[in-house]
Amino acid sequence: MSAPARLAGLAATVLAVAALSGCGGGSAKPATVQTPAGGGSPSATSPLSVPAPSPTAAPAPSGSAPSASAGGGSVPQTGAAAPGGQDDTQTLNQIDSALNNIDGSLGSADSASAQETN
Amino acid sequence: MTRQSLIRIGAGVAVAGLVALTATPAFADSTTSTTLSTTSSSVVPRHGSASTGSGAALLAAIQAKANADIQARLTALRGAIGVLGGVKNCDVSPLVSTAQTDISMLTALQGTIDADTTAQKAHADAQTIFTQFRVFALVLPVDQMVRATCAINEAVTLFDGLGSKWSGLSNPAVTTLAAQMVASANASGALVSGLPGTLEGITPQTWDGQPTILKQYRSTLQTARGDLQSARNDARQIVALLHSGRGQGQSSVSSSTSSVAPTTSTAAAA
Repeated sequence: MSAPARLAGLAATVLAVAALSGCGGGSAKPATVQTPAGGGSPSATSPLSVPAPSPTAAPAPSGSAPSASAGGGSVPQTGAAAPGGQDDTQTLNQIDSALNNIDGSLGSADSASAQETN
Repeated sequence: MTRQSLIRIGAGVAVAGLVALTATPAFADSTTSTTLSTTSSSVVPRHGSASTGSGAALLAAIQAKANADIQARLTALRGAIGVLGGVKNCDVSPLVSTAQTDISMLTALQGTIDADTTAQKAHADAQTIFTQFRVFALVLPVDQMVRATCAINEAVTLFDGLGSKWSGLSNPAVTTLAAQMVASANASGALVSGLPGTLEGITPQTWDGQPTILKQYRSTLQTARGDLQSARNDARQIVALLHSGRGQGQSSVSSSTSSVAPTTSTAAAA
């Protein structure tokens, strides 16, 4: 096997190990799915990078110290996916957009009604 | 005095001149004339006035007013189709079909009115712009209210996702708030369940018999919006707790104003 081929094989192995072990530790920005304002769904919040937290996940002991970033500390998520993290912020932004759409729609409905002249 | 005002005055004088020259009553029977005078059309002379109008001038005026009314509705309907096209994750195809059908029928009606040879016939046809379509009173508000329902359902789904995520945390204040948030969001969703179908089923004839029919549904949407705001306030508190790192403390949890009762007694504290 040639030297370049060995190097390529080594690099692929390193990448594979890194991917399997979930390394990244905040050094790489997790992939996020950009959704249009008001048009998102829950599954759009980083479904590729974040395993969905299970409601039945065992909670941390009640006396355990919370994670500095997550507050609760019982869900094994880090970075953007952590509770209260960037993903949640994005979801809340989508909710705010939906609320704005509701207000806009109701306002438009009122405006239209006022134009009926007969 | 503005240029536009001068133009309007000039147009009014011209119509009055035509009427005075012909001095022919537009309608021999007073019933029809009285009916016309009660319409919103500003170009229809009132019964008993000196200018009861010539047939030709009145016909032209009615046709012009009808054309303007139809164009306004065509423009609004096309705009509504564009807005509905931007609605995601929600089936608004019935609304689009309604708008497209109305556009076709209004366009055909315009041709009919343009071809009318008497003011009486043109007036009768022009009235159907309102009575057969109710574009501004019904169609467009329904479009917007269904769109609002779609946005409510979208927000409910998003809140449910956050609730699932946050309910697994060990902070009791967070889990309590999360449960309260989801309850408020789901209450909002329940309020608007089936609403699109109900709204789409209201016909212009129904509206004519009950012109305030949409108010109750608008009120429902407003209540649902309030529930979502309560859920949003809960989410804001949760995020603040998570950011503050008070993961295990017995943080006080304020109760949001919602149409649903707090899910636990601790939620009503503070």
